[in-house]
Amino acid sequence: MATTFERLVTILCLKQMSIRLTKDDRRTWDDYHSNRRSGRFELNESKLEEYISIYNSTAVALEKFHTEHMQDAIHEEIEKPIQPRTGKVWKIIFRIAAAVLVIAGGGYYIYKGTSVQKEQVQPNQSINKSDLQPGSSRAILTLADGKKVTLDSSDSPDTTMQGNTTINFKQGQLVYVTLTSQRGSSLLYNTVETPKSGTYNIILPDGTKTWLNAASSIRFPVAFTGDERKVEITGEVYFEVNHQGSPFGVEVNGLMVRAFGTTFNINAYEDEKAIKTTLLEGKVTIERKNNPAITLKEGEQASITENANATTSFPDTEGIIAWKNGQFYGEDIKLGSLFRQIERWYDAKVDVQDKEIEEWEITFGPISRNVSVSTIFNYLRDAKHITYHIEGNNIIVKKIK
Amino acid sequence: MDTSQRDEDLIVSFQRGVQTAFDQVFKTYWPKLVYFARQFTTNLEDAEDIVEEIFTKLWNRRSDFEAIINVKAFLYISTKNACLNYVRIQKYQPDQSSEMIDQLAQSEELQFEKVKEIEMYDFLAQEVDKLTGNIKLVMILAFYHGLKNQQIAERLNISVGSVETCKSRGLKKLRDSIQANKSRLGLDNWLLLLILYYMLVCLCKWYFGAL
Repeated sequence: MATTFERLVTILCLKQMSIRLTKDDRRTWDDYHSNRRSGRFELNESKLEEYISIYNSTAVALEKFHTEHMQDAIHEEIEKPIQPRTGKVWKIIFRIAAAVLVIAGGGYYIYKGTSVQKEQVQPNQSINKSDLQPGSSRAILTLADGKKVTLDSSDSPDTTMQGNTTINFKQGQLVYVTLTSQRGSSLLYNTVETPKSGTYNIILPDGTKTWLNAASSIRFPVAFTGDERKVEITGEVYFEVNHQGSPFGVEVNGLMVRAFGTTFNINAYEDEKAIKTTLLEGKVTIERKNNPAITLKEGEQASITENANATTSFPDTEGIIAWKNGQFYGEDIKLGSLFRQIERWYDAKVDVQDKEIEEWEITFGPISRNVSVSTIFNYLRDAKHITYHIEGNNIIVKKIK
Repeated sequence: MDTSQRDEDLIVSFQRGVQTAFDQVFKTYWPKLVYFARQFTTNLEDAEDIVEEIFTKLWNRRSDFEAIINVKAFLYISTKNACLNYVRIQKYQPDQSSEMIDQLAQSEELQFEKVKEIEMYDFLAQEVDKLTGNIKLVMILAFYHGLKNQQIAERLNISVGSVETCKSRGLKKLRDSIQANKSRLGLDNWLLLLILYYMLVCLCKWYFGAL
């Protein structure tokens, strides 16, 4: 004779599958509900928002970590020859048999085809065919399974999933929001890379905001684990770290930059002589192999060369983060340094015929990055007595004799 | 739509002992059953032990199940029985279970209410998962992370007004889903009215700036 619980659970299961109830079942169900009208078991059920929170904070968190772990433990238990149970079987660690990557169905597809570079028309300039156009919001996202997605600011907004993390694509920005933290060996990583003349903005799963300059990349897990938040970068990346959460670390070329609720910029281009980390707000320490760690003060920059020599200074921070604000700007910067920025942003090669030009200093900008390259060089021509002409992707620069 | 066909295929594979079929059942029910068991054990380890044994039993008896319904019912019923055993045994331990657990252990109705609750939670979680765009992000940040509107706005680089709009649209979609599925969720009309009433109350409080 089935108990009330057994009958009701069975009837609920039938209802879930929209299966017609028998008369008996319907009677049991109705009797039960009319008895309930006495109002004993109400209220917790009716607050929708609490419901969602309750489920997630326990069950979903359980699912991500324990499910895989448990599955393996159970499989092992099943495959064992029958023996009397002795104790906490679930503590046995087992190799993960099932595929770890979860790739959602609908709502995810690869953007194929051309990413069109936006043509910028400057009102007071004629469109010079041989002029070079500035960069735009473009990048390539590599998902955990290796699939690549081309991102372009002209794409329509879209949403996709990586494990328990939702990714939103919209207008030059990727936003990651996760249900829970990942634990264990099954961390899923994504990488975003900008090409030359590309830039992109990513909000990481912990809320940290990052800006990628041209020819840069960031690799990060789609959900951070409890103990630390670690990402890897190349090129130039600006961070606004969410101060809530475990210690945040950036790995770059063998250095580890640790941040504590903070705003900073790392410039680690291979063709620059040193990795420059500039702290704008908060606190940052830089760890190098076989060398003492460096702690930066606000406004301070550490410049670390390949042989791990470090020097610190207090540069003009506005100039250092001008790129993130869509500008070129620098006080007393070497022309050579400006040329390298131009190369990356316009995907060009600056061919300097008179080498000493590169050592000249200039205070430049702020000027919008969103202009064609001739605007920049016209200014340089007037300010510094140099001349230039553009051949394809090359800008040839000479002294005016 | 095609749930019945999928379930039929699933139970056939399941009976035959196909690992992926078992895994699918496991993935679906493990979190729900552990959550259920935890209402009796309070601590996570014991709840997991109980449910782990249930799944082993399930596997051993796989050929007995003719339909997925039987599997679902079996899982909840055996878990409940195992939990009652647990509570009975715990009574002899010095560190005691609370009055709420005793109440739960003694009332089949309360136990069933828990099951309905859990199925409702699961349904809502799936519905939130189906959302897209900023609505989804806002719902997750608001209800899963407990962030306030201002924090969500900062996090997503949108206005507080957008956050509020997304929340109300998200809640509306969930309400509509509940409405469309009320029979499957085991909701009687009078209970649904109660839920709608409370949701409207919450929404009103929120429009008038209580949040």
